Amino acid sequence: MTLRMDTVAAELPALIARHEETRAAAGAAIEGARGALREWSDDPVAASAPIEQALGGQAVPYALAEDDPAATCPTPPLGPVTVVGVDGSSITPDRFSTVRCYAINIGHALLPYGVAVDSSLDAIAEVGLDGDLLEGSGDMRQAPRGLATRLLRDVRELERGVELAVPAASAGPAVLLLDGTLLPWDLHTRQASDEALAPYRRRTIDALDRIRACGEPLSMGAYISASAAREVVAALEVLAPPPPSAPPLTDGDVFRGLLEPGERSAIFHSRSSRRGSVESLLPGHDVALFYLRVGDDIARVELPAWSATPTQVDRLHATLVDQCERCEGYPRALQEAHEQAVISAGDREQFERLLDRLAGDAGIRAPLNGKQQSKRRRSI
Amino acid sequence: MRAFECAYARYTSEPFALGQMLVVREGRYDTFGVVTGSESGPDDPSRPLVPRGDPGQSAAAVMASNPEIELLLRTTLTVAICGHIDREVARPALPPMPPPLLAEVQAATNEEKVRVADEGRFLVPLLANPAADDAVVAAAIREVARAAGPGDRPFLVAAGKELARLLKAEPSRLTSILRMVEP
Repeated sequence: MTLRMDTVAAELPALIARHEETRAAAGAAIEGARGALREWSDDPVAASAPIEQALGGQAVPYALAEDDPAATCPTPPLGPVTVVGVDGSSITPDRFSTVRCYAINIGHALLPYGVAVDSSLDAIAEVGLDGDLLEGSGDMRQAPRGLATRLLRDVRELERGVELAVPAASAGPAVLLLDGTLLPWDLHTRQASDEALAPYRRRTIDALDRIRACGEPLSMGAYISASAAREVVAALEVLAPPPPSAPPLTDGDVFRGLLEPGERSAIFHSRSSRRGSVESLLPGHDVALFYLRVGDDIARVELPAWSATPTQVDRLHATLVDQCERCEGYPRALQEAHEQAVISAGDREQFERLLDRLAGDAGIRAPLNGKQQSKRRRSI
Repeated sequence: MRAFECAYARYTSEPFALGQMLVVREGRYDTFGVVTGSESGPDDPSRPLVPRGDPGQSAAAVMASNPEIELLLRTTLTVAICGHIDREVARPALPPMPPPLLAEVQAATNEEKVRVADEGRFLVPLLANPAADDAVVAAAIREVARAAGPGDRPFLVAAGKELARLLKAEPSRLTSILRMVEP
């Protein structure tokens, strides 16, 4: 045992007591935020003006509602649908490795419900050299370790979703689900040059364009369980500034008391400066979002603004509720896609050993550095 | 050597039956065996199968409304070896070598069943296998009798005699098996 449990156990009761104090203080702040939401709901257009005036152009992320921001929508009826879930996992090039290469594993679940499509659970894997991630630019080399692999994985997830969901949508209504944010956050990173990021942006746009071209038969949503986002809260704080001592709230804190299980919030449009920057790089692909109550969880669901039609949103909403009921509070298709994608510690070790062995067979033997050698032997 | 395990690619609700004779046609010998057990469950032991469906819903309906389940389950069989064919000669005995790993397992033909059963002598290796309980032995005899067709009487008499010889020290077991063989 390396964690000194005797030390941390003694400190935990005090931490829990402090947490309770914070929760109690948050209660008043949440009530204030809900009051502001009611005020916003009374006159959405008039109340949106000061929010835009205060936050427009600033770095603070915020969101504006399409209609009544306090609206709640019950679960719509669910018709036949094919659900496609995609998730990815990756091995970052290891600077201690003989051959620096990455591996990406994209898992999927294609689950038809009342639609004549074959179900499938599978994964596709790809490997490449560290240098392959540079896409013709040397600037990515300066980016933090793992960024390029993560970015490629995110883009491949989206592309894999397109490969599966577009044909599925030709056989009947379909829903494409991603885990996490809709747009890869790293597309906007300042830790790599525009030139290095451009190919990933182009591929993201191409994938989104293909989904858009499917039209109404295909709904799309990116699911974030227990989201810590506070874009709606930021807007509410303009209408009713919280006391200086109030703990920071999340959007989930506000919607937890408003939404009944299975209900979703109004559709909001992300207006954060950061989002704006990403969206300016992805023209025509603005992000819309809603909050969904699943059990005690308030999930954030992001979708392309162009897919926020009533038909597509209703299908997405009903599908997510049904999927979560099938899997103890998390979409079944995403759970199964994750199971297909996950690269276990054992897989990673096996990959490393295989790489070392094949490199050795090819006569490539890099001397082990001291840290690596010591970690491997762990001698006493 | 006395038994092997084989698996379907996925779950099947109708696997090879208990007592059915199967064959592996790869390797130096065609190896024959009798199904002694069948088990279906999750491929990943860390993901238990939990109850699904509503009261009154059939298994097929539960599977249809949860399309991922069949893809996550697998059916496996255990097979007791009861004979082999060596250069066209059927021998109701264990082969000198086990069948190769990952070889395809198929249902034996009626003609093969009758040849390998060799008038009941396939019961020698079968009864020597602890996995072949009374129900398996009786099912295997019925299976070969069916394969023999309308003229199954000589086989049943021969198999009964072989059983009586092999189980002379276990009369209660002999009675149990014979009762289960009766149609």
